[in-house]
Amino acid sequence: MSEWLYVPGSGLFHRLDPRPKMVFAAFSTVYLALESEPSVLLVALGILQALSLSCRATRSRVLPLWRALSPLLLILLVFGSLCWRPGDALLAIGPLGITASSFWYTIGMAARIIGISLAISLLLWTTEPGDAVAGLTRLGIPFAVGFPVIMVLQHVVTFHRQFQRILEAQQSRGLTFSRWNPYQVARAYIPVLVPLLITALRSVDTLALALQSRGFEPGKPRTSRRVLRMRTMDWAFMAVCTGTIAALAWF
Amino acid sequence: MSAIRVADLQVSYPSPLLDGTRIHALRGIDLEVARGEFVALMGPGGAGKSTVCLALNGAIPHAVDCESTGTVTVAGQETRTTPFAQLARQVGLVFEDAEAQLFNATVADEIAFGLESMTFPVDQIERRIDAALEQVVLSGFRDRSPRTLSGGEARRLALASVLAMQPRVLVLDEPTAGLDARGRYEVLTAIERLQEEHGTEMTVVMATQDAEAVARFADRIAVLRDGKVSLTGTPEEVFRQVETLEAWGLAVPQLARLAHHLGLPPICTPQHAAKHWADLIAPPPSATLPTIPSLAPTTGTIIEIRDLRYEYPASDQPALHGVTLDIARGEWLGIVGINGSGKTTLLKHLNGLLHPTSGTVRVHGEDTRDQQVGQLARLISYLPQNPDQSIFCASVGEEVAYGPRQLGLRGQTLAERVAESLDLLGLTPLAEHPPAVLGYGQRRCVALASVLSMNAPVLALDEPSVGLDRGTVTRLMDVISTRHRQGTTVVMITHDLDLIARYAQRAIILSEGRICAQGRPHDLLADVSLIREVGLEPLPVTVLGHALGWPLPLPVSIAAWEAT
Repeated sequence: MSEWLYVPGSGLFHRLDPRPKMVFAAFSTVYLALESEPSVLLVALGILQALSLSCRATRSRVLPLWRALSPLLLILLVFGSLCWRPGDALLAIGPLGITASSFWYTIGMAARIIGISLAISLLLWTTEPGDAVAGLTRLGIPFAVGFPVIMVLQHVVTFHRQFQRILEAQQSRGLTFSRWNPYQVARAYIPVLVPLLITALRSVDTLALALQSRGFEPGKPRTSRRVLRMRTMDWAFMAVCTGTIAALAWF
Repeated sequence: MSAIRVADLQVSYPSPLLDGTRIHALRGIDLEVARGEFVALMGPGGAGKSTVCLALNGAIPHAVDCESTGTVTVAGQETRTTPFAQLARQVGLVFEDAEAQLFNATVADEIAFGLESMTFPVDQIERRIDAALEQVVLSGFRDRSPRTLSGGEARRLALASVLAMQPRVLVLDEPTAGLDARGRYEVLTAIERLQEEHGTEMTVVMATQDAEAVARFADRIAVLRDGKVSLTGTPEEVFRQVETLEAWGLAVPQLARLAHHLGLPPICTPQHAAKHWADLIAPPPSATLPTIPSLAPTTGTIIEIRDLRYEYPASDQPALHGVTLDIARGEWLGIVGINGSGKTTLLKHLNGLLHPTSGTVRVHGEDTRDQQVGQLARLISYLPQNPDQSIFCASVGEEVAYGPRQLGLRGQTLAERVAESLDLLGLTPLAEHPPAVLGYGQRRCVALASVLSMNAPVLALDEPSVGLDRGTVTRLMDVISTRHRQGTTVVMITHDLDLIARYAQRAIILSEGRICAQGRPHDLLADVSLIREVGLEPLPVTVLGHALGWPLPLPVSIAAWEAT
């Protein structure tokens, strides 16, 4: 699960102020969500992929990200292709068939999902969580909203670790997942999900106490050791990515 | 002058059963702590130690769902009328679950969080971060993620994060629970440095089960029992009451027990004892030294491990390498070593949770690679360290029945198996209770009952005593001993060397993923230089014998004196 988290590095994205990266991630997400032309989506994906591979630190995260998304992409490719859309069938399996339009539609959807994931991951991979909170605060998002968002992202790894430990504990008590009936598989997960939920609730309780014990009060002014400054490089980046997105939208 | 004054403090929580009843955690506590004093709160599980800690920093009554009466005045401020955030500047609380207290992405951010809440300017924040890191000896860790820290480092970071706010009162809730010897040493040394640096400037209250730490640091002890202060005094005064404390389920320092037995002046630390007892004590006669804490005869091999190597994915260092080990049927094997030495990794190989990168692990002659974990559960019951990783049922009875039901047991056989396990752990009256709302000690008992009910020939225990009071530990170990006498093989990981000395027939010491020593527990634990070399802490009576130059083998328990 750590494929979503910050990785130290010194590439262009790492050196940028978090705010232009946030604007970039937001613009890219909105653009990819609205664009419907598969070829343009593929070009956008190519650009994002190239940006991710351009830095040595983030390069190692690209493959795990694709791997993490692969089950979703597989389901999308199978069911999306088989969903009937007008046109000549390229391949027919009984009553089901794949047409050229359904094929390209599915490819576009896959490019959209990976593209959005890459755009957001680029922000997360290259921005220290403390800087991300400071960036959100400077963009006008209250600390009491921005801090928990970033904190929850960090805690995903902790919960994944907890999930693994609970799964191991229950397997040691004879839990198996050998059934293929979805209802029985779902039932088999109850011994894992219930302790996970109880653990999460206990952690949240302690966390709330820990925050207050260190003087945190929502809405009260705070200082920040993270000092952010927009430099020429940051403005230039904003200009380039705004121009690129505008060009893609135009064509 | 008092730093803390608690008068007739009563606290009750709503029952988690949501039946309208209340649980009375504190029933009228009176406590006064002088400025600069170090007071230890001791008491069995459920005595109210953590509730006192929460009351001292203002979480009670401001942030915890409870009802309270009485007054708590800390650093001149009454907690009921002072805002919680303002109290945070006066009282620093280090929670028992230090990992849950750490919520930032870097060590520096963690320490800065409280200072940012107090609106300190950036330059002062940075200075205080450096100072706090230096105090707890974590100076090189500024940019590390708190999630990558060891147990001892995480506790010290939690300590630094409150020290940076320069509180006048420091409250520590079980600061050494669950740590290995090295982590415990790191935390205790950090506390010792604080005492030396701050003197009367800082008042410390430490809730703990760690009698040896109390003996070393505390000026005074307050023993809590059933929500009341039952006993107060200096460590020497309190630890003189050996029978009373043990009857209350509390740990007593090993040397205090020895002093009590031999009628020596009550001294609790080996350093002082070596100084004052030199002419008063002789080594135990070697004839009375126990040869082996023999419990059951062993017959044949039940687990064979050959040249085991294991590497975690994305790790360039093997977690285990070159491990070859036979575990005899009916044996009690103790596994010790510091955190990260490979103990849990080894234990997880026994029931197939992990498979060797190379080498083999055979249980009952079957290669674990050929079996699913669920199938191996018939042969090996694994008790994880944290009971909350397994508890999920609506009642204790259902929880205990889950394992054997997964193994195919039904009807009368299942009912009998469950009843027997509940009875062994004294849980029969709680059979219909939801296990998740029980106290920590009871949840540990439920977790143990849940694995005992599976009746597997091998019991693999990961830190069975951690976080428990001595009374509960004794009860759990008695139950495990009973099973062992009936022929169950026990493989037990523990940081508690005293448990190894008392129960194990053989011990292995793991260091950097390999077995660096194995043999009879009394021989291994008496080797002071070996124990220190692998990062463990020798038992106090062994240190005393070493300091007084007693002939080998040095004692590891006071059983030899008790036998004469």
